[in-house]
Amino acid sequence: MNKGSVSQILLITDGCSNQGEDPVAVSRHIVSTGVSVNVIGVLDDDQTEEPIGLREVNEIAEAGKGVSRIVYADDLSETMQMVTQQAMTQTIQGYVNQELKSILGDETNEEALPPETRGEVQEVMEDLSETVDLNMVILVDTSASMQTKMSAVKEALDDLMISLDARQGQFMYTVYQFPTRKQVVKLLLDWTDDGKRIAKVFPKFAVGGITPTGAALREAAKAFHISEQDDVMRGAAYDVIDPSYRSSS
Amino acid sequence: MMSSIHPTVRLANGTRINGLWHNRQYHIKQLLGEGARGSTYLVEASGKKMALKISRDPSVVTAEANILKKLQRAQSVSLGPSLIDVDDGYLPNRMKQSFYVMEYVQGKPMTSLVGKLSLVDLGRLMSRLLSELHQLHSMGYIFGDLKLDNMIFDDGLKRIRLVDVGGVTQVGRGIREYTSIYDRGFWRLGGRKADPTYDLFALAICLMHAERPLKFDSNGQQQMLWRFLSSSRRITPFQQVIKQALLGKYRDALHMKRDLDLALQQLSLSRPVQGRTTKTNTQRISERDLITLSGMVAFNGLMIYILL
Ligand SMILES: Nc1ncnc2c1ncn2[C@@H]1O[C@H](COP(=O)(O)OP(=O)(O)OP(=O)(O)O)[C@@H](O)[C@H]1O
Ligand SMILES: [Mg+2]
Repeated sequence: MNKGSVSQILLITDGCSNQGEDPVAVSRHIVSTGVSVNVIGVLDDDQTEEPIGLREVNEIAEAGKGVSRIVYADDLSETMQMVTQQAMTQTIQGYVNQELKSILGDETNEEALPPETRGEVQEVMEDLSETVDLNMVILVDTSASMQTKMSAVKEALDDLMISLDARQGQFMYTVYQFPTRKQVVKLLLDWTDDGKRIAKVFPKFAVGGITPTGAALREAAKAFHISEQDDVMRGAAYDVIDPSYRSSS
Repeated sequence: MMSSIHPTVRLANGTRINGLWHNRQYHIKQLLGEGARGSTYLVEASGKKMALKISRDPSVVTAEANILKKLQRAQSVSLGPSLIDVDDGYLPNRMKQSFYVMEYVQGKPMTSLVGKLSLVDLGRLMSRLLSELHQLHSMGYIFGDLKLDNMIFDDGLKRIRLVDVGGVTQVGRGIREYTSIYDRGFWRLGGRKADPTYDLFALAICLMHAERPLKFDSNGQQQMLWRFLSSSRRITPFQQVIKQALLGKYRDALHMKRDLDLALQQLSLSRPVQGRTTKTNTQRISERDLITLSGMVAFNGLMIYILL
């Protein structure tokens, strides 16, 4: 039985390498392939205002039909878990609302239903978000300004793995860093379902020059189409949740 | 759900909300609390006090109402508040919002009682709570976000009631709502797949608050927990129970209750005799024990990994 899958990019940045290619436009393109783009902006402890570079964080996620948050490094753990979860729920909600429209007519969405029926729809959505497979590209900004925040990023990703390992659905992820000296992005960890491996990639992070976030996003999104996972990923790109799920459950 | 909404809903005292589907009217009296999932108000309807939870995220309302319905159907004693109504209503700003109405639990917050109650009283309340948790667990659910903030000492029933069912999770599923210091994943002492031992861990952390509030730095260092426990004075009689629960050694809530009851028995036996030193299983954990402890890796197969 194919339960369907959800594909996400999780970008972690402090906004200091936002130059060149427009990341918002890239994000809009990525979402058209069935992948949502989520962004977490990390603030310095002494930053009381959002720096200019971080303004784009919300726009990138909005264009990428994803979720965004701007937080201090200390709050990263809770935030990553929440962003990932909410993004998944959002994708599933979008799908379920579409299904409802096709059954009940154009103007119908979940909120137009009486509370009792809504309760049943909610259960279907909870089942889906617990059981769908999740494929995630993690893209970490390792520009010099991120250096002081890296240990918090490591902790938070480690913690995220605990949550994603607990789900019933399968979970696969891959890790990229940007910028690097020679390439736009660098693969640090190829597709794996082993949450423990993320801790081991961190010592490899090296800080480099300036590369546009937009170009990095575009490169990292290709991960959904390369690797031995090719068929699965392509399937995910065109059909975010397999409609056969409900008929076979 | 939108991407960056804040779920709380601010309503002035005196506001009236009319339910659109069930036509009941609620009169807002006072804000009880607000958090990551919405706002809870004390309201009045037909002369009775009730609690109303409202959120900008309608799925929060639907999900929690679902859980309350389930708990109600299957439980003989009411662990959580009973569900009264689920509806939508227009706010004064003409926005339509979902809400649910539940029993108002009148009592004192356990956050303030935990340091004031005698150890015996606290132990008895927690022992009772363990029986009720066992019932919930037998239904195939765990409470999830078990913490002092979600416990109210019910003045009428003289026992602990649990509010905020947002964390209730089917056994075997991933836990999504939790609070770091009560979460075994945060301390790297286990995973977030729902099983009864997850609640027992959180309950042990609640007991530790009787010593003093737990403070922590951004990442959970489990040595910190063991150090806190070994240097504790007030909660010494519960040290062993707490330790076992933190390590996930209790198969179910009843096993933990049995040990807690034993500790309570010894506590009330030894109390009248002043100054006597009892070297039973209530003795303090030695430093050496602690070193062995933090080095232990293999228990229950539940753990994901330990960071030392
Ligand atoms: N039925 C009730 N009777 C009395 N008080 C209640 C009731 N429900 C909630 N409260 C009070 O309101 C507070 C906040 O409610 P609730 O926990 O539902 O909000 P929340 O948004 O889930 O908060 P958080 O996300 O921080 O847990 C509770 O801590 C409790 O003190
Ligand atoms: Mg709460």
